[in-house]
Amino acid sequence: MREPGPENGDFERLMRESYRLVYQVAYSVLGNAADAEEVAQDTFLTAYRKFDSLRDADKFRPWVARASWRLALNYRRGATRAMGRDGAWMASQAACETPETQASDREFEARLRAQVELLPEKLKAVVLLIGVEGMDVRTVAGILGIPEGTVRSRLHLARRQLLREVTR
Amino acid sequence: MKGCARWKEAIADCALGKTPEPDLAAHLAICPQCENALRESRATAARIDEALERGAAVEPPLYGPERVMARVHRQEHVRARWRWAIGSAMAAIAIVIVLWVRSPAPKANVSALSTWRSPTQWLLRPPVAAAWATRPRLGEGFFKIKSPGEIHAR
Repeated sequence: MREPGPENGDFERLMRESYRLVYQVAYSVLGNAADAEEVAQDTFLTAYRKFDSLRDADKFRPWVARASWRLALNYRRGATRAMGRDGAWMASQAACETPETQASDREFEARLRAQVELLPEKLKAVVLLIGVEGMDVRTVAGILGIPEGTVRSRLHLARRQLLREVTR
Repeated sequence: MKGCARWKEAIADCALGKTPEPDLAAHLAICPQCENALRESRATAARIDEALERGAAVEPPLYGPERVMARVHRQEHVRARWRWAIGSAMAAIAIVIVLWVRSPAPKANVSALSTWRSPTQWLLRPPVAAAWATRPRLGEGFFKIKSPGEIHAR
């Protein structure tokens, strides 16, 4: 006998709880606020249509995170227009920093951003997803559909490549 | 320092969180340059991690969830209209079927059917066929010949 799943009214609560995560996952793939917003919207509409098939409310968050990842990848593949990461990516700065520190940080982040874009797709996916708030190796493995050990090794390879290129 | 180049990769791994191997640990204890390189690499690795986290920590628009709910409601509205339209169409079809099944079958006009002849029979019949059908009785002819008295009497 099927366990009773979450009520239809729970959708709004669960959606509000996981909106930030879904948006950030989409943003990690697309690097663009407008596109990430569109993908987040589409993700939740798809989730709403399939909400009846969800048996456990606790699985909603990883479920929509994975859906967001896939939709963002499809969106990126299907987009014919030039897609670039907008200025918001790595643009946030601590307010207390001095102008010199800010300039140095900006330069460092610009170099890092360029190097992240040059990473192979598999490494880039891991390094961008792991940066998302609340993401751990297990969640990333669930989203990408790969073993946790593979996530760890890819993360290590990516960080090592970034470290080598940034300090060069 | 030239001999320290072989420790470069191991130092990078160590900076990323790996426990140093005993031979590297022994080298670091006697080589201030490599120890300094490890310290710098650790600082850079931490900076990379911070920057990546900062890069991903974008704030979604505040109205995002409201837009989702608005689209959900709109979708529900459209689905409800479709359900209504499909339901109405199904009901109409069901009514038509019921009426058709329950209506009495038209009675066949047996007498009309028995007298019916194929029109081709009439078409094939020559114009004089009516005359052939009329057989003269004994003493009668096909053409009635009038006497001169009858003609003149007119």
